[in-house]
Amino acid sequence: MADERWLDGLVALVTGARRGELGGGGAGIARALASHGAQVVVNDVTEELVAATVGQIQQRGGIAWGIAGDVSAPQDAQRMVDATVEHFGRIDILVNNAALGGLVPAVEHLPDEVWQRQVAIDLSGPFFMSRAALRHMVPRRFGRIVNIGSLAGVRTGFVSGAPYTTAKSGLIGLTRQMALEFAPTGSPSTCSCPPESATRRSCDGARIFSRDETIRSDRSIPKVSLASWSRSSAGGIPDCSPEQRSR
Amino acid sequence: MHVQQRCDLSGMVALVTGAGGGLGPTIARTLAEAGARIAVNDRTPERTAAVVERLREAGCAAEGFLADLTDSAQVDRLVQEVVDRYGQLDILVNKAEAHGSGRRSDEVTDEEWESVLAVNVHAAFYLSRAAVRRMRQRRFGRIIHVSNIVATRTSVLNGVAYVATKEALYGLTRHLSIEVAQHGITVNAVLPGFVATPILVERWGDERIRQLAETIPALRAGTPEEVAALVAFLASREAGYITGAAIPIDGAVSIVPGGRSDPSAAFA
Ligand SMILES: NC(=O)c1ccc[n+]([C@@H]2O[C@H](COP(=O)([O-])OP(=O)(O)OC[C@H]3O[C@@H](n4cnc5c(N)ncnc54)[C@H](O)[C@@H]3O)[C@@H](O)[C@H]2O)c1
Repeated sequence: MADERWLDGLVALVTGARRGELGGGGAGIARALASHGAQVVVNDVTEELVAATVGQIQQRGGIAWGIAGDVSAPQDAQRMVDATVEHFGRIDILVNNAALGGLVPAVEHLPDEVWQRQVAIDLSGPFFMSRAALRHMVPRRFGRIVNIGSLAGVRTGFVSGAPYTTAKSGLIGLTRQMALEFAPTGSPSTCSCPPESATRRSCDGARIFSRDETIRSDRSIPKVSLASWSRSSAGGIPDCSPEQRSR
Repeated sequence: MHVQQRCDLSGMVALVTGAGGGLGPTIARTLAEAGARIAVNDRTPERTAAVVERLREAGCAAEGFLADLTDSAQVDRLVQEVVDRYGQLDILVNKAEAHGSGRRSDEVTDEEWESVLAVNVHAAFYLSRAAVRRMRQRRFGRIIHVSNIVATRTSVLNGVAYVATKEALYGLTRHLSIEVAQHGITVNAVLPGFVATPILVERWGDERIRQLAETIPALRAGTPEEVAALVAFLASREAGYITGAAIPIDGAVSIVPGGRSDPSAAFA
């Protein structure tokens, strides 16, 4: 169906998208974007992890390319985005999905390293990646940044600790501020998951996103994920219509 | 003062970070007037000594403690020193913060991002962790982060690092409040809007501040005393059931449709 390919010609970079069918939300997002026509760059920490998702997308006739790297290292973030532009000629969509969560000790027993690593990957990572992507998106006056949030960012995590809740909360502030800066006419309309949908998205999301069938049967998911912020209200209600892709 | 009548902090020990500037001296003094003994910290020995002197001149029991809050070992040592000196720590008022440059996100440097994160997020965590370890033993504690109403909105003046880290600080507040609620410890954030601190009055002058006030539903700037009174109340025994909250104190500026949360940006 023509409508199925509403991302035709766009280039998307998805972080933390390892292990194909066996992977988590990121691999599902990468597959979904590819199935709608996007050329997808798959990132995760190692080549092997990345290759599985790339292979799977290609097998289904999609266009994918992999790049390993650490989103929490600023030079790595810039390198990966630059390589994406070198390979496909542009970057239109960035999905900041990579994250590190899981059970950690209570705050009073929490070691510095655990705290710092999660905050670096879950909060600084999306900043470094977004900054690098914006440097290409701004001159072209088009871009979509989707930050995968969590219920933890709005309330608290059930199976995660202080660093995850802290970082996912910060991610909402990051999203809001970038939406303000880049939403006005004259700048690319950078867009993000609104926190609340990001939350619902990722709660059911890790499950839903890993199965393309569900994506197909629930079109609202990619639509909301690729929501663009309405121009009038910075940090306000996002406009979720797919027509927002028009340039 | 009403605060004195309502909030009795006698017998308590409070550590106030970032005590030298802005709202710091007023908060420290208000807690002291309510009966607490005060440990103050600021980023330089000079700033710390200056606020201690001001507090003592006002008849308050205060002492200065030096530490770089972005260094977890120094924070542990700071809290240890306060406990060595006073025997306990009941109240942590974390007012230290780093501002952002206000540059657009794509122009924010690694250094800006990391240094704002270090103070607004990492230091808050190190302080909270060290404080909780002490407070648990006595089954009483009050952790109060003095944040900013822009944490809930956006900031043209401070930019992405500031907004993201302030929102993150609220995440830490919420998470920690759950962990420690059963131990008699509360964790809250206070979100002042536009407050006419002496330095702002000096920098902007009365006329600018009056113009700015017109953008605020309350039609005036807040006062440091009003913020300090809220902090003192949250520190009191009476506030034991308030936890995990981020409380705006902003003359309703944050809830005006289309309003600016960062009215000072108009004058940047
Ligand atoms: N699974 C859930 O229930 C759930 C709930 C809420 C939010 N989320 C969010 O959804 C997203 C995906 O979660 P998931 O469940 O698929 O988790 P996942 O662990 O399967 O996926 C995260 C991926 O990020 C990668 N990664 C970690 N650090 C990295 C780094 N420094 N650089 C590059 N990649 C890195 C990991 O290798 C992993 O493949 C995350 O942002 C997560 O916080 C998940």
